[in-house]
Amino acid sequence: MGRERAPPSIPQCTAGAPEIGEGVAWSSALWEGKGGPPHRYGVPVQTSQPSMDQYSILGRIGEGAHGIVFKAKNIESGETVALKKVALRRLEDGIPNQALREIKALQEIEENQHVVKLKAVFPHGAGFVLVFEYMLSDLAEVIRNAQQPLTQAQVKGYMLMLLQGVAFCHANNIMHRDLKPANLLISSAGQLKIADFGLARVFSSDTVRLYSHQVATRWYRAPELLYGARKYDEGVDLWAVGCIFAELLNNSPLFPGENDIEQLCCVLRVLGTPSQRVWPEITELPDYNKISFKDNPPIPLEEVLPDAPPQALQLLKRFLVYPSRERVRAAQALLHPYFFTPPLPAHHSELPVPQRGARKARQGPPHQRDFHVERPVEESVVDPEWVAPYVMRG
Amino acid sequence: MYHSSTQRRHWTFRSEEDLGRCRADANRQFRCKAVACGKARQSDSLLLEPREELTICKYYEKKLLDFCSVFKPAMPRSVVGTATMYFKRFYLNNSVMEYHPRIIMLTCAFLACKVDEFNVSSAQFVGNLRENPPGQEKALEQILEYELLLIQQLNFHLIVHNPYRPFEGFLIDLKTRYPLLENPEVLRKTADDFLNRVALTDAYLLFTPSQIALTAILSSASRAGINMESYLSECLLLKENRTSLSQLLDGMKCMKNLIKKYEPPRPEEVAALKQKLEKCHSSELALNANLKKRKGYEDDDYITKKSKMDEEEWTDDDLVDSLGF
Repeated sequence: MGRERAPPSIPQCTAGAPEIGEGVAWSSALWEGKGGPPHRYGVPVQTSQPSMDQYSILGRIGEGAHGIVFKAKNIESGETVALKKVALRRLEDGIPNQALREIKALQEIEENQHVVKLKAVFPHGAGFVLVFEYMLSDLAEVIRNAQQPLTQAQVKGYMLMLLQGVAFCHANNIMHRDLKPANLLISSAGQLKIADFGLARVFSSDTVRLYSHQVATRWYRAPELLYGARKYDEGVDLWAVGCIFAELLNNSPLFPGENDIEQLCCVLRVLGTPSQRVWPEITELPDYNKISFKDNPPIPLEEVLPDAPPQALQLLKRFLVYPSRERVRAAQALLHPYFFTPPLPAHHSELPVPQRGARKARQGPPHQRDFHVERPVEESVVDPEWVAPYVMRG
Repeated sequence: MYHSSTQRRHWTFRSEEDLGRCRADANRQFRCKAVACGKARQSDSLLLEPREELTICKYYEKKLLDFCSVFKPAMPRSVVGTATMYFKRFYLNNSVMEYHPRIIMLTCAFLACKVDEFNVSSAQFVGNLRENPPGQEKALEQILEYELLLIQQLNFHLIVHNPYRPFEGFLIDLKTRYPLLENPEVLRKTADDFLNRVALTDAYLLFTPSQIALTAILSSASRAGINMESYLSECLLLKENRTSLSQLLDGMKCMKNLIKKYEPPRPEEVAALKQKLEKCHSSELALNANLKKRKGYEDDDYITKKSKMDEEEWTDDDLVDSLGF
């Protein structure tokens, strides 16, 4: 496809290169990195809908585990989307598992407002492109940019959306396995959506197949994974939810381990050294005998997060427990009194939306009223009485 | 969940006629392409008829199952089911004259392993071909070459729902809610045979996995002379729902029919068709000769590597040998 058509003079997009300007029309040269050897995938690709011709690239958003993510515009609909390109050149094992998992997980579930939508997948050149709805920001950025700690209503608002998304995934037998603030995207309307299903697994309760414990970003990794568990369940996501919850309450990560051992230390310092009494399954975990820790009593979460309201801590404690099956399930957590006592969860429109990239956040009240087609025209024109004093009469 | 699955939405067809139409279209499209580039005339006897294509597919589908059954480490049943389904879906919209089933079949198995999280490395995978290392490397090269085409032709719909889990589910249900049947496990063996035989037919493209599983159980029961009507009417609550019941029974009849009329391809017919197929893929007719055309654009490194591999074509006989048949 397109490769041979691309004139050599088109600047190629390499790491650190300036962002592609607005409205640069699509050229496959942009995908091809350093212009290395051409791909080995010689099979003719039948062009089917949709294709890259429908998009114009607006810029580069970032680099994912399996490729670059671009911001682009659907030329026909004007809709802004994120294009995640999966390149397949020189991969010994062909299409990477992460890409397959992402497609698998997102194609099978129905739409949910708290799970990022995979709009289309299409082949392109030596790989393929995943089209997602475009999201302005992510929760990591929200936490980073917060001038002061988030209000309780805001924390509740985020937790509500996060739990709704997680409950939906789990109801569809999908474990995300890599929940963290950077994977929770924020739309321009303030909606939180779970993204990056590159580690997601479709789970079934009856299989005896083993999973990898090398999943989840360290700070959010459940204790059973730190002990090398190969059989685990959606509880790993609920642990991560607890960590994210604490981070929202405190504006800083709860267990910021520098390495895997230190990570376990961080957890143990707060929750106390696990005993067989509180966590019977611990003795069956592969790495249980490899490391031992000094007996250490738990520190009450009230001391760790002194500013958090009691009800928040009550709920938090239900996530951060050692035995996975005792962690509160997302659907249950949604019914916790925390969400039903004032201050009530903030509506998504009341949540901060940091802007990605160079554009400045809107400051102060909007100076223009939105125009509504259906409202009576009187409402949108200036009341004559307001201007009466300034009108010169002659 | 099957209900929201791409399988239900895109790959479950209403009738055998629909399937026949898709395959005839695929055949016609290839003919048109061949005519358009002047390589054949519309009714060229060189080309395969839809019926002949189907025979070739059946033959390779059986080969695929054989390959999977001797695979090491042992391949879970669901992986085999997924691979079979990929193969069926692929040739619903493609002609064997355009893409050789020999390589598509291996690509289906390769992709199914990955999608179903049956983690074998690519070296391990081709290690299952009884080939010397260069031969294995070449096979892998081809598999990787076709993988993208395959997932594209599958429309990126990767998850396949097999009848094996609902089958286990029904057995558990029988054990817990149907005391009339003393030991439901007695049904397993015959039901398993049924599942193996139905996998060779088009049933996967026509019925839901649970319909197939239930039919397996009931057909096994009827062979053992066990009447399970009350399971349907009482436990599955079909007594008051005559329409669902008759739909279910119709489906079962149809599945049994599919099995009954399935004929394994005859060796002499296959041999003749394979010769014809090789002609289609030979240089005069091959439409996807882009590999060779493309070379002009590729850098030197690539050409030398590629042309070395082109020296000896990886033939069907090699594969048959490598499978040990």
